[in-house]
Formats: sequence, structure tokens, C-alpha cells
Amino acid sequence: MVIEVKNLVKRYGNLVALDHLNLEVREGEVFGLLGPNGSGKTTAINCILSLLTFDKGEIKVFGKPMSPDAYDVKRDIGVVTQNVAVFEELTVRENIDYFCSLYVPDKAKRRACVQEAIEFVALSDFQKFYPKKLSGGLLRRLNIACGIAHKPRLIILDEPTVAVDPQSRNNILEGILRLNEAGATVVYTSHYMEEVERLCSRIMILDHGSPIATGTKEELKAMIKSGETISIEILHAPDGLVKEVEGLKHIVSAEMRGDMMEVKSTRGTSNLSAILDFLKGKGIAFGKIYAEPPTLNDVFLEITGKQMRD
Amino acid sequence: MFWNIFKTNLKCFVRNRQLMFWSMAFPLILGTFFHLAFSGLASNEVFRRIPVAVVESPEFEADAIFRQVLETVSAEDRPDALLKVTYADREEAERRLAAGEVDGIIDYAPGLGMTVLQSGINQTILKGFLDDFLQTVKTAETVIAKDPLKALDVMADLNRRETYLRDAPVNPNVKNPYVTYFYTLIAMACLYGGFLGLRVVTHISADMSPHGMRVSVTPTHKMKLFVSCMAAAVAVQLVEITVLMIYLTGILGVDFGGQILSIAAACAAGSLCGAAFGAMIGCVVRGGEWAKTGVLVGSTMLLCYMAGMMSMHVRYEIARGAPAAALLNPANLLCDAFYSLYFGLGQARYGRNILLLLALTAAFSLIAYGKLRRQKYASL
Ligand SMILES: Nc1ncnc2c1ncn2[C@@H]1O[C@H](COP(=O)(O)OP(=O)(O)OP(=O)(O)O)[C@@H](O)[C@H]1O
Ligand SMILES: [Mg+2]
Repeated sequence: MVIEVKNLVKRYGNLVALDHLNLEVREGEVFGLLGPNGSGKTTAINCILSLLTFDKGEIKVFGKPMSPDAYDVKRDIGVVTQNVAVFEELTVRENIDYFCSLYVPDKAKRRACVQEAIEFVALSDFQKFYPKKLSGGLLRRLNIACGIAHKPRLIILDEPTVAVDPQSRNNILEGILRLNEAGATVVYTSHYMEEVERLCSRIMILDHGSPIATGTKEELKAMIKSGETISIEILHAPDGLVKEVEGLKHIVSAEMRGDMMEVKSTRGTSNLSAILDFLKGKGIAFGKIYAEPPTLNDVFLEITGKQMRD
Repeated sequence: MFWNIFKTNLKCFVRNRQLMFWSMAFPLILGTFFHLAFSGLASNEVFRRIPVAVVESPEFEADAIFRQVLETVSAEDRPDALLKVTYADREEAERRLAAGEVDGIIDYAPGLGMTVLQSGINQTILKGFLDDFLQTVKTAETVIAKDPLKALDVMADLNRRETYLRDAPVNPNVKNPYVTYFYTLIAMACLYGGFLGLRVVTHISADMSPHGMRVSVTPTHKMKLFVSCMAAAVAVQLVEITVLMIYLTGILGVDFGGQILSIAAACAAGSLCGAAFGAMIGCVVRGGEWAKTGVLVGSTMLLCYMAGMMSMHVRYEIARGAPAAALLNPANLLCDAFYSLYFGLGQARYGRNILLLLALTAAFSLIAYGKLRRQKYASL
């Protein structure tokens, strides 16, 4: 086990930020910590890193109890913080080199690591830039390079793609998968479920400091009764149509959004054709049709009764 | 690893414009202002005894102690005599004061007191002299009341009290009384090394900056980080003080009277103390970096004020009224070390000041490191 957290309780004054959190991260996996803003992701990470004191619980990393001076453990961890953590006064290369030097004292070895990290995040053209001159996406990439240059066995990334354009985001996600393929265990926190779904082999959904579900994405989706979401374009929907559709078998809910009717169904195979048959039978014309499989948001919605993001 | 941390932090300090402004440019600018303000004054202010009229009266005749003290401090054959005394009756004394022939009148009306027409350095010194005398006499009276045998000791002490004259910036060797202001300026510049010390703490504390958080998760011992970063801070500070000294002596022409090595050693001790002071403020004061900077600037200014930056009188009052505060004030210790060199007050006094400075540095550093070492925070 790479990370083992048992019964972790963390309070900020009266606010319980983590409520008996149990968590295990296995060697070689990409573990996703998914939760809305304020659910306790960063708090959990900072406890694991021994930056925060906590009220109760036990934390082991690589099988050893974690503490601020567990240097042999810290040596193998790479951290990408939620806030960009670099020196304004140092260039891209100097920043990566400095943080790497705190792990890798050997100069020649370090030079190779730094070079590799720069190429990895594709910042070769910006080596001499100061952070102030970098765009948001490039800055995030620098932040990642600073965390991973020393080739850690465990990489912890706390929302590394916040405020990043889609192209940079793609870049970052692919990079993380490559690091995982190269053997690193990854912990990834985010409130973007698409990212977590794409990246993570196992996911924990966190809300108000407690895990509400843990498993692979298939396992998570199997936990809920919602199936696909069907969207049908209907230009002239007669009054009462929504009610009638909702009355159909296997349909959980229906609503009109502009010209689109969105229908949520329970899991099953022939829901779409049943609805279309019904519309045809009533002589109602329809245009475009999509059907989407359930998302992690549906999981979150069904368990907590609210949207992950609003 | 030490070198890498040292070198990188050095770069960070030097490239930080705001930091460089306060720790380097600001003292230079202030020095220029002092120079502009004092250069005209210093040249025509010749050091001479302070002319004073003493009104002859029965009370004065009866006060043998005061007469003896007056004689000692105005003795013609003493090169460092403080006063030039004229004995006169009340009318004559007032005429002389009005004519500007004397700076003050000492009189019994009925208690020992002083009349002046204006305020200035001479008047301040006169007042200090009288206050000191009265204070000593009061002590003597209490002692005599309690234990008449002790009285002899106190009388002896009163005679020794002449030495206080040497504490005042009046000495026939002294060419420029305003040099004391430049000394407080150097002390301030040394303490402004606190900006660098504060920055060090910001660089390595998880609760003070995102990069501090990143540094904290690395497998590097806090002591190693602290020492390497502080070394960088002090190195920058030493260069800055050197630049300041070269500017003051070489360009503005302030004469500090030689003893360059001893002055440099005092500056080095002051720089260490300043950096440690800033680190301590960074660790002890709660709040963001702005709050800490505010407290640092405020307390540095206060320490310099207490060391006589605005008026030397403040310094004398504190030395007299709260000697402990004077001993715990790094700005004051540093100034006092400079004075001991400039006014020739002796190696022992200089050495004592430097030792106290180093002791304060050690104390500040220990307090700072004690907080840094804790490493885990209740909230980030
Ligand atoms: N230093 C602090 N003092 C008091 N409360 C805090 C502190 N830091 C976090 N909290 C609270 O603890 C809870 C968990 O915060 P945390 O930052 O761990 O959430 P998060 O899941 O990382 O959120 P985000 O997605 O916004 O980063 C929130 O309710 C937050 O308001
Ligand atoms: Mg967070």
C-alpha cells in the first residue's frame, strides 16, 4: 500500500473538514479524489504530507508513519500544490533546478532530471522566462515540473488544471498518464469529473469531509439507478408532454430545456426506442437525438441530491 | 546542497526590487537627506565649551558639592571641559544671556534650576548636566538618611559622575556632532537586514507562501534550510552596508574617524542581528506578509528612535531612566559601539556592545528556529 489513511479527523475550529476519512492508495494506480469546492480534498492532501496537524487518525506512506522529518519517505514523494508554488525571482529553469536540488544533491544527476522535466512539460522555449511572463497554462506546467523533476515514486497533484485552457489541460492529463505508465503512483484531486473519469483507475468521491463512494468508475456508476440521459430535439412540444413522458416505464425524470427534452432513464437497453415509439405514436416530430451514459455527476447527484458544480 | 540553497536565495534577494529598495536604496537616500540637512550646520558649529552664567547667591555659596562639580567640569586645564562658567549677579547674567554671550543661566530660585532663551544642542546638554547632578544628590540624600556611613561612598560616586560628560557627543576631538545621526542611520540600515530575514522565513515556512509549502515537503532539514538562507541574507546585507559606508565616506565625505576594521566588525554584528530580528518577527507575528513587514518597519523605526535617530536626548533619557531597554535595543548597542570608537570611550565598552549584539542575535535566531522547527500547522 502506498498511502494508508485511517480514521482521519481534522477540524478547523468548529468546522469538521475531514470526518473519519479512510483511504488507501495502491501501488501503480491513479487514484482520484473527487469532490466539490470545500469538500476537504486539499485538507486531506496536506494532512497526508504532514503539513497540517490533525485531531485523530493515522497516516502511513510507503508503509511508514508519516511525519515532518520522515525524510526517506518525503524523498520519494512529488507534490504539485493547488496554488502555483514557485519563486517569482527565479526563471523557469532555476525554479525547477532549485526544488530538484532539495531532493537530488548530485549536480550532474540533477541537470539530467531538470532537462527531462522541462521537456516533459514542453517548456523548452521558456526556460529563461520569469513566472510573471508566463501564461496561466504555462505557469501550471512549470508548477508540475517543479513537483516531478526528481522522479518521485508517488506523485500527488492537487487540482493541477484549475484555470487552464483546454489544450494545456490535455497536455497535462496526457503527461500524468505517461508518468503513471513509467511506474509512478498518482493521487489526483479535482472537481472536474471528466478529468477524473478519464485519468483515474480508482476514484473516491468526497463531500463535506467524508467519502460518499469509492471504486472504479464502472463500480461507481453501477451503484446508482440512473442510466443514460437522453436528449431529444422537439420544436413544438404540446402542453403536458413532459408529464406524459415522465409517466412512461423506466423513466426517472423529464424536462424541457429550450427545444431539447432531457430525459433521465433507469438502467436498461430499450429506453430510447420506447420514448421514440411513444413520440411517433402521438405524431410529434423530433430532430436531433443524443443518449449519454451516466456520468460521475449523476452518481454525485443521486447520492447527495445536489450537483457537483453549479 | 548548502551552496545551492545559498546561491539560489542570494539570487532571489538581489532580484527582488522591493527588497533591494528598502534594504539598500532607502538608507542611501536617507543618508543623502541627512547630509543635505547637516552639511551647512556642521561646518560653522565649532566645538567649544558651553558658556553659562552662574548667579552668585548665598544658596550657591552654601552648596559646596555643586561648586566643586562646577569647578571640575569647567577647569581651564581640562581639554574635555564641558562648561565655561562666568559668575555674576542676576542682572548681569540676564544681560549676558540676552546678548547671546552665554547659552544659559544657572540659578537658585530657590531650588537649583536653569534659564535658557532658545533650544539647541548646548541647552540640551546643560539640562542633562543639571538633571544628572540633582539625581545624584537625591540618591546621596536617601543614602545618608538610611546609613550615614555609606555617605562617603556616594560622595566618591558623585565625583566619578564627571565621566558622564564623555557620554555626551561633546569632545574637543569631535569635528562633526552630526556624525551621531549617521551612526543611527547605519544602525537602521543594519536592522533593515530584517527585511531579508523575514524573507528567509517566508521562503521556508509552509504557512507563509506557496513556495514555502513546497520547500517544506522536501526531504531537507529545516535547520539546514534556515542556516543556508540566513547566510545568503547576511551576505547580501554585508554588501549593502559596505556600499552604504563607501557612499557616506567616499561621496558624502562623512568622517567616522578611522578604525575602519572595528567599524566593519560592528556593522557585521549589526547585520547578523538585523537579519535574525527580521526572522524572529516573521515567525512570531501572526498575519500575512504585509502585517509582518509592517511590524518589522514599525519596530525598527522605534528602536532607531530610541537610539537617538531623531534626537539624542531620547537616547540619554532612556539610558538614564530604563537602562535595561537600552541594553536590549540592538540599534542602541550598535550606535553605542560606534560612539565608543568615535569618542574614544575604550575597547571594553565597544566589546561589551558587540557581545550583547551577538547575544541578541543568538536569542532572536533561537526563537525563530524554535517556531520553524515545529513544521506542522493547525491551519494553512
Ligand atoms: N485554514 C483554514 N481555516 C479554516 N477553515 C478552512 C481552512 N482551510 C480550509 N478550510 C475549510 O475546510 C473545508 C475544506 O477545505 P479544503 O480546502 O480542504 O477543500 P477542497 O476540497 O480542497 O476545496 P477546493 O476545491 O476549493 O480546493 C472548507 O469548508 C474550507 O472552508
Ligand atoms: Mg483544494
